[in-house]
Amino acid sequence: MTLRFDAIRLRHVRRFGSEGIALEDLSPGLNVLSAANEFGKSTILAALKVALFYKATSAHKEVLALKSADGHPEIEVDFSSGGQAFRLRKTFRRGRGESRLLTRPDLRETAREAEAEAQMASLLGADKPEQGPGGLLWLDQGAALTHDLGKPQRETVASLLSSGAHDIAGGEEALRVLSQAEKALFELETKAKGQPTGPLKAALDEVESAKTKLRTLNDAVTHAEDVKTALDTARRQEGELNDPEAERSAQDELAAARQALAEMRAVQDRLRHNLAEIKALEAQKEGAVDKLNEYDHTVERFKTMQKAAQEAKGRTAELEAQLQAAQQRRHEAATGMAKARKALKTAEAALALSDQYARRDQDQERSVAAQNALLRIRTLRQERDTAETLLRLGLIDKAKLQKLERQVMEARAALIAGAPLVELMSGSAMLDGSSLAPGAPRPVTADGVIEAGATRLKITGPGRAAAAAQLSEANAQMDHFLSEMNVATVEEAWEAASLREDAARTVKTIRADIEALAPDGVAALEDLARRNPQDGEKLAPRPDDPRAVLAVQCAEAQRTLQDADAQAANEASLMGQAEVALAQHQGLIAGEEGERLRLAKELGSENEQAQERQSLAKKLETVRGQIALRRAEMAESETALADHERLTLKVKRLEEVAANRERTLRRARDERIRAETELRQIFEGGAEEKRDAAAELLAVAEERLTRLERRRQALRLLVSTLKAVQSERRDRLLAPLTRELTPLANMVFGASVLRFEDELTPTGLERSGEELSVGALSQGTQEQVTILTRLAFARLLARQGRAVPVFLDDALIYADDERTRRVFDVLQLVASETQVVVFTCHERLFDHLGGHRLEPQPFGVSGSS
Amino acid sequence: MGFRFLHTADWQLGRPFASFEPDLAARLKEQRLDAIDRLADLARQNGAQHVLVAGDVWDQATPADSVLLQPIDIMAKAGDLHWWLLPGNHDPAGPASLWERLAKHGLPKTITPLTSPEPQEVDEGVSILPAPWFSNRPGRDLTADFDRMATPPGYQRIGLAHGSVQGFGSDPDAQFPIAPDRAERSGLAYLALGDWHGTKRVATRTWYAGTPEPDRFRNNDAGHALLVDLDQDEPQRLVTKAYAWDRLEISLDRTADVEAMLRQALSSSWPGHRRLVQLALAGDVTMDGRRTLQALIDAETPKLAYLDLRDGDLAIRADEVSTEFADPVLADTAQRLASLQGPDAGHAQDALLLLDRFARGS
Repeated sequence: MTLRFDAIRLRHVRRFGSEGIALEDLSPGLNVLSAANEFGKSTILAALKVALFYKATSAHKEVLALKSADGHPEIEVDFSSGGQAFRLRKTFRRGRGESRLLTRPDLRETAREAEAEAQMASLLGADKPEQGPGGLLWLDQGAALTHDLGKPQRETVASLLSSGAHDIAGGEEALRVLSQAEKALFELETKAKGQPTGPLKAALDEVESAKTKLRTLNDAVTHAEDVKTALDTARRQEGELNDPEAERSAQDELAAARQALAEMRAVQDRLRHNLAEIKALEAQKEGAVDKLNEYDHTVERFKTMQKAAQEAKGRTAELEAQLQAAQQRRHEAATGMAKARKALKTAEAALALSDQYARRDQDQERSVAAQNALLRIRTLRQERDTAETLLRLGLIDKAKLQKLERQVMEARAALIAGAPLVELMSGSAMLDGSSLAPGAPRPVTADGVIEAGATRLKITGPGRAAAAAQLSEANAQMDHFLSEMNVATVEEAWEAASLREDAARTVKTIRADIEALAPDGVAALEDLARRNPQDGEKLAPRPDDPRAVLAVQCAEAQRTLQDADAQAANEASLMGQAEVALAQHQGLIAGEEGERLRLAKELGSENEQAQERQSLAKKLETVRGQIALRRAEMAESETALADHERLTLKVKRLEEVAANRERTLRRARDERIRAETELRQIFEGGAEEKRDAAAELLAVAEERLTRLERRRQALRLLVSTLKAVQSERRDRLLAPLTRELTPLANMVFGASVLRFEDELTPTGLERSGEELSVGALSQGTQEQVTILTRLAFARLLARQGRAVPVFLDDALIYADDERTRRVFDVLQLVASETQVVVFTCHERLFDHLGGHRLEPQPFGVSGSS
Repeated sequence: MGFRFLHTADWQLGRPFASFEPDLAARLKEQRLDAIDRLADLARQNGAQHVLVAGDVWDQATPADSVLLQPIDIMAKAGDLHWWLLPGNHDPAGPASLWERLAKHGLPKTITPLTSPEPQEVDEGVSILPAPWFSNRPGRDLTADFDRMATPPGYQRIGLAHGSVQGFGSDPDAQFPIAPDRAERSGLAYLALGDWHGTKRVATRTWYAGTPEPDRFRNNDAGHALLVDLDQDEPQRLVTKAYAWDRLEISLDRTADVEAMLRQALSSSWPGHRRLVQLALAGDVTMDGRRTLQALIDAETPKLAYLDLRDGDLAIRADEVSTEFADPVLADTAQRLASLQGPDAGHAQDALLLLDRFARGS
């Protein structure tokens, strides 16, 4: 059965005093009451709930909360249900309140007091405000932020969603089992990462510990085997080495070898003595050899000095002869120099005279050249005068002449261009004085006077006079120019211009020529021309030879003098050198002479020298003989000692063998004792038994671990299966709600799915493949999720033919504007299926909601009776 | 009456039994020592003066001194009997072996270690031909030496050896097994074998005595000694064990009376406090049957010295499991778990039991 409200009126309710308030004519679709805070919107919803669910006589706190100072609360609710219109009218007064259920529009009372209230409960399907559809769909202010459903609400939802009792019942037991299973599971593994914990972790640790222990004990047992092997080896070795006969034989062999070696030692001492002797003799031998060599060297040096003394005498004589010869050559060079100087003086005098004659000849030639130049200059001056005469007429400005000529020609051309043509057709006539010929038209370029017989005609035309005047002016300028230039015609002017320019160039050339001929001026040239070289001093007779020959003779005399000078210097130098060499040589002879005389005294005669040397050689031979003797003795000893080394090695070997045997035996004994001691410790410890026990304990630990792991897997499987069954069951149960809700959620959040858990409250919102728990969403989104869920319930009710109005009291508090508008679209959609009443304090924003605007009126202004 | 002796083997003294609770392990170890006294008593009672131990007297090659000497002390005190001890694969002879330690320690004349493959005259006209082990890998059939062991003419030859017989024994695939006709080949009056822990006839005059005190869940008739009379064809089997080790295998199906089957299987004349049981359950049962089984096992376990339950091959039937739970989620879950096949089937069975336990609040 459907329900919708048509009007709500209240009076004497809280701040709505005796005047009261009425919301009339509620639309079956979307209704909006927009009013400021403190207006009393929540009071209206509270009053509606109280009217619908509480007895008029009730002293319930919700009823008492409606009390006004000026009277008992009166509430009227007009509503429609099942095609009938009703009015519920209640006056709340403790113990004496009144309830009336009237039909509309006739306002006939159908029930009153308890009966009326029972009928209302039947109509509403609930007798408490939190029960039934109203408990689900009438959201008080702030209720949208609480998305958990209370028990009565869950029951309402369950009745909405279930198709039978079976679906509703159960689940609690499963939740308990699930809780126990999870508890048991999380005793074995961590909740967050599934890491082993508690007894499972302890079992794992125990297995690891047992493995480690077993490994250690295995090592110990293996070690015991090794020790046994080592003991066996040591015993065998000890047994082998403990052979008294073999030991005695070895000792005898060593003793014999040592005796033989002791005998060898005397020979060895002799050998050492001989070796020392040889060493001393070798030293003596080296001393004798040194002495002999030194004597031979002294004799040799004396002989060399003797020979040098002889040679020095000859050399002194030679140097003295060289000095004398040098002195002679120096004298000759001085004589040559005097002769050469005289010859040079004669040659130089002849050359000077020759030069004087040459200068006089040059002066004569310059005088004649000056005279010739003066003649040429005279001719050039005459040519210059002629040209200068022409120049005095002035140079003609060719550019100006050309300009004036062009001016005349242009004026004439202009006159001709504008001149009419006169053609003789027949007869005869003259134009400007010249006859016209038939068939030959002629332009009128002059006065244009045509004479034909006595007839004179003058042709005039526009501009002709100006052109004629221009031509005349041009001619006049030309004539004036010609006159200034002293020429009669233009042709003459052009010719005169050329001649005068040539004259100017001629004058310039002549001046240059004269200047070239008389660079120092004509006067200087004339002075030069007037000179006579013969007028000077008297010179000796001109030499016979030409100057070149005289110059050669002079140069030769100079060279001869220089050569003589150089030779004299050279000889002087040679003489000096000879003097120095002689002095040095004499000094040298004086130095060695003392040493030579000392040696001569020391060495004596040649016979004495031979005797001394023989004596020294004999001493040397004696030492050599002694050395040879000792060596022979040594060779004998070495032969005797050849076996010594073998004997020494043998003794060494036998001693080493004995020592090794002793060492090995000692080691084997030590090893045996060590192994026996260690084995005794091992036996005392019972290593194998411990190892076997550890192996069994490991098996037990592994079995325990396997058992716990098996329990964990079983618990995991139980938990996952339980959850899967629960989830599937929930999905199945919620399918009708999901069908209604999903389109609404899509309108607000885009493509999205709302998830529910067993409490039948939304728990998660999945968007773009990501799921967030409702608790993690923003307050605005949480609020919207709650509203959408309630609206989906409203649609579901409508779909089931049990449409109940939705009340939203200031529900969209946290939504942004965009989200709010989307919710508005949803509200419009839901309002097309069931009545929606929205109370808001956001007047401007809710202008966008549309719907029917509720205008509050005073109680009783209209509708009420 | 011919020459009589007690044939025993595989005492394996010093075995730790560490996989059991310390108290039980200590009792099991002690019983292995006590078995020597029981053997001595049985020998005396049956007129045997010699006890032949066919190898593995000790469990380890290098036992602790206490493990080594305590049994010697017991045997020495039973000095009216002669104890012949053969080294086996667990306690081989050789350098630095436990036998050397014993020799160094000194043994009474009534205890003879057979550490050399030489015949030993045990009585007038009777020789023992021992085949001692010198390592745990001898690399040949040690009893082959019996052929070359000369005994005086007319002497009865008793072979004493340890190891697997060809095609039989603790290691049927042994590389160098004992020839099954060794007794016949070597002219033996009897071949006393050790290594196989159960009592077993191998061939004519060839027997495994088995261990006097069982040590594992293998139904191989362990816990005896053999009383051998060389004039008799067959030795006499004498019970020596103090503890019974029983492996019970029960296969169930939906029609089985679970409780009856389990009760019957667990019933035994052997005292529970000296009984170790390995219970292997297989087949499939209903959830209710499984509960019954568990309740019964829980009730019986305290009576026994030890119970090892192997229920990995036991499954709960899927077809009725959902009716066991009123809660629809639990019913669906149980149904799924019971129906799960593949590698997780075992976990699913465990999970089902856990589900049942949690649901019942136990």
